[in-house]
Amino acid sequence: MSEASSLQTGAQLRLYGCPTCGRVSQLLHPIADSTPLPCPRCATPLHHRRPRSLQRTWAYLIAATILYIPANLLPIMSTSNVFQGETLHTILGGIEELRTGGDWLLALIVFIASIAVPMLKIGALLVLVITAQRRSRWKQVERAQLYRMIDAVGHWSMLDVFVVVLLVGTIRFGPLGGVMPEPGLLAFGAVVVLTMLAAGSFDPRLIWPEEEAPQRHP
Amino acid sequence: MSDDTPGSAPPPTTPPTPVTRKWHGPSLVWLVPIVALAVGVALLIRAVLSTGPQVTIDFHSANGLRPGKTEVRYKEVVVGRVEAVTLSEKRDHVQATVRLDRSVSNIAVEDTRFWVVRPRIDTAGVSGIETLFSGAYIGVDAGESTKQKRHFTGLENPPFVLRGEPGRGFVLRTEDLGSLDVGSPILYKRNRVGRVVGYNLDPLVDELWVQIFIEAPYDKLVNPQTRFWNASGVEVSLNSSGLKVDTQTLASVISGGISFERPQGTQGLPQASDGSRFKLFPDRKAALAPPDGPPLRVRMVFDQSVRGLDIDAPVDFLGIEIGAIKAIRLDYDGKRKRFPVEVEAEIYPTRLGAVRDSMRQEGDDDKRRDTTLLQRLVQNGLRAQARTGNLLTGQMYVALDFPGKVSKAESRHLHRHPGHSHGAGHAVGRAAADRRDRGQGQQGAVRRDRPQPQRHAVAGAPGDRAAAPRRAGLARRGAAHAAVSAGDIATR
Repeated sequence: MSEASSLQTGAQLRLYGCPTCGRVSQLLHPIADSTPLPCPRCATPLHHRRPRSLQRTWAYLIAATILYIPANLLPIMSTSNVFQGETLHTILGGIEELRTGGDWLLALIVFIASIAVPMLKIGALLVLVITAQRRSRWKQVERAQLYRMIDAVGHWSMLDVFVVVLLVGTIRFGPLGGVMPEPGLLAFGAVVVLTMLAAGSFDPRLIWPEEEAPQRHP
Repeated sequence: MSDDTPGSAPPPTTPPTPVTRKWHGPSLVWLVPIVALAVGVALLIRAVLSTGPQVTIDFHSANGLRPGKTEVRYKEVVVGRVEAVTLSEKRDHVQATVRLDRSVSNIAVEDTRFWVVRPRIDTAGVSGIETLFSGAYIGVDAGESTKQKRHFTGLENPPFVLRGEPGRGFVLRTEDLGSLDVGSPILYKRNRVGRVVGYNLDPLVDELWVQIFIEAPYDKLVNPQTRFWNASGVEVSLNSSGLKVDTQTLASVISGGISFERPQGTQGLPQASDGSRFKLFPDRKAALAPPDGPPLRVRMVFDQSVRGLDIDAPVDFLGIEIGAIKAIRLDYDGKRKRFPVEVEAEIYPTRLGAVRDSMRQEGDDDKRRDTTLLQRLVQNGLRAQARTGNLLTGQMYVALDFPGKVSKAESRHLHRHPGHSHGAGHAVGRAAADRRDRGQGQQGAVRRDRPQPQRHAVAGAPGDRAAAPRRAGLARRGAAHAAVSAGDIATR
């Protein structure tokens, strides 16, 4: 990596990696910019950089940020039983209940899974998108690691949704009690999905911007 | 790994039909945040719209109030929820912040009342049992005012009359509350039809005013002639008629209650208007008795012991109860060196019924006529006798009878009697005693004449009567050892 500047990039060698099947193809003759390049093995369109990657990421990210507000403000589920009647639960309320109940560890876990991770994901994606937009060369390796982390964490934030869905499915005692999902769960699930989409649509190759304009950069 | 099967990828042949997706301008992916924005805004707007006004309610204690849990219910419909419970600045009460539903935002007006419904066992019975499981909740009675209000003071107890509750309220006047309390039941044929909603003492007339509420449709049963009586507890009366135990419903035994009844023949009367006033009688007998009219105060003098004679013991006239003993006191006859017992009684001349009307002389003053009637009876040999009414208990009663063989009777008019603190009497009939104490073997009439300068005789007549022996026999049978003593009969 010491001689990164002298290193020849795939774009310079006209090499294309297929994101679907992994096959690397080489373009032998220069062709027109608008000509689509399908992968010879799986016909996936080939690009040096995923087209409109930043735009997509931005869109998903903004959508996730917007929905993050109702996800935390609105109740995600309501429980009802004979003793208490209907009780609404928000994520923060649940954490607070666990904390006051003495379950510090559980509260911490729920906090990390439901509040910290989505927020960190959104924040990290924001950092990635902004730096990619500015073609920044700042801490490229760390940013690449950050991206891999975000991608890996991905669906684990869906834990809340799974828990609620499981509760709704299992706890159904008619008039005695039950759990019902509330609109907040929808928003929360959407946030998780949207952050996953944002991370998925982000092209990590944008972390490594090239000196000169690539031959084909749609 | 660059080349697996073909050494170098063949130049991709241009497909016959190139995919032409021409969308110049922003990517369609921007629809996602727009949709997200729309959804998010819609969710938040929905949440905001469904929340109504926030009100604060002051309570004495936060017992049972849990933020986020405790509901506010109006007619058992959840219309809000407690959001926070905080101490007031002075720390003398708690302040519950309540978020009302949008649908009932107009409930927060000036005369709306809030109270905490908890399990409650009091004189009104057991209430709020359901809160044992569900926890306390805040009850609401919606006001009718149009003035909005955001700060309320919660009631400590549930209001006893809710607005719009069908029924009518009445006021009962009584001298003694007994075991009645707010919430005590009103019973009609031992069926609960209402409740006591409050009482207050009127210090001017020294009377208690008990406010009662009778639920519809039972309020139709109350007409201007309806009699109310205190049906509290178990009534055990041990008197000359024996032991009598009378109970109302078990609930009223514990908590007291009021019964009412319409006297015979008054069922067809129109209903009493809302807020009518009635007298609260001490018991059913008193309530349903025909009105007695003003009592006549009578004083009787006995020469022997009156042990067994109590206050409120009945006074009979030929077996008809016409009054009750009100006072017993000892006197001293200095001349004869004796201790006569003075017994004071109240008798109701109206209970004599037709006798009173036929024997009374004409006159304009009712009381005066009753007095003269009594004087005439005394002149004709009417004497008071203390007789044993109940052999088991030794209870005695006073019988007004014509024992016969009475030598002389005298009735006097009394202006002032030194023995009475309230001696504003105006008439006295004084009869000379005819004492026939068989227990001591004394026979014959003993003429007693106490020097009483402040009295003067109005009438005096010897009282021998033809039917005397028969009546004396009756008296003997009625009183085994008690002296058949005709005392002075004096009316005041």
